[in-house]
Amino acid sequence: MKLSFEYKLIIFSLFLPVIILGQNSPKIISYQYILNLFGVPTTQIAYLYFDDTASLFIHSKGKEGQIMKTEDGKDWDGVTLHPRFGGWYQDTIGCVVFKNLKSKKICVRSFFYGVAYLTDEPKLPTLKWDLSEEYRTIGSFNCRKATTRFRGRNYLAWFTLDIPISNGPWKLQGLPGLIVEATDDVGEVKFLFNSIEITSSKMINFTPPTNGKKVDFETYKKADTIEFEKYKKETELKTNITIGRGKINLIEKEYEQ
Amino acid sequence: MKKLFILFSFLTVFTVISVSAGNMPVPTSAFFLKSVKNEILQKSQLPIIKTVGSCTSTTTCGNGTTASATAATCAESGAAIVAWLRGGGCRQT
Repeated sequence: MKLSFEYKLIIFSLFLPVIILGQNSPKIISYQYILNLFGVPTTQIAYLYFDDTASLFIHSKGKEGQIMKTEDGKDWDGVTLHPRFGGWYQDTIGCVVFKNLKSKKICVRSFFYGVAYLTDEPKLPTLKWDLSEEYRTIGSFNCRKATTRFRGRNYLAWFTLDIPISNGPWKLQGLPGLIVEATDDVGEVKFLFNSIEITSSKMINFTPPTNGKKVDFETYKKADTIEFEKYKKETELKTNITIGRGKINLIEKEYEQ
Repeated sequence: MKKLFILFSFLTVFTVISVSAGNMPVPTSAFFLKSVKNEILQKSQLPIIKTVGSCTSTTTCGNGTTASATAATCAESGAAIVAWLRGGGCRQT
């Protein structure tokens, strides 16, 4: 059977997205990153810049300072006292997770009470995934369900073989395709698909994050407690305000041995 | 006549006993007014005493910490928390 030029063009056009996305040009997938650790859900856009071997996951990047949300998810007016305040700290670099899939390197920049910490984890974590036979379309991608347990939380992920890169948001990776969505089973951590685009390789410099308090991984694990104690001490010295710890609920609840 | 005599005798005996008892409290309207007035004064003073230095405003930050300010009035304690929040308080990860 001989196909006419028009038919060939149509068939080629149908495969064009797969062909383009399959090339080794860097891409950006953006996620709605929703955190709800203390009953005040915060939503921001997080970006995963990636190619075949390296990636940068970035959120909390913007102008210096802090965005305050109230318990109803609206921007704080700066006047009204609400019983609950969400929001997050941000600067011009943001919270960053750098991953190199070939060398198994992972470097992190995170805020703890507004203080930026830098650390190199010993190696890229190995996540044991259970693949399901459930499929779902997210955006234009055909996705397959997978589940895992990572650092104290059970995650459900949807990955796509349309982008056969073993990467995903934050520290999640290790599936045969890109993770398009991931949520934990209690709804406290969510990475929801927002959009994807292909970019010029000149725009992305895949290097580990800089600018922060560089610590070893063991110290990094205790950073939340270290900075809380400082924060409490400083606040109580400067003001007549008493700070309490409350229940501790971190994204990473425990670490593998 | 006999009944009147019994009543008169009873009243006499009662008066003698009352007088001999000395300062036996005699309920008068003035006494009642005085005690009611005291009670009103105490009750009206009570909330004022309780309010001084005891109004606490508390807020919970998105990182789970709580911040409490105690001041003479609720407005003052609330204002302290708001000023602290504006100054970069409630910093989160």
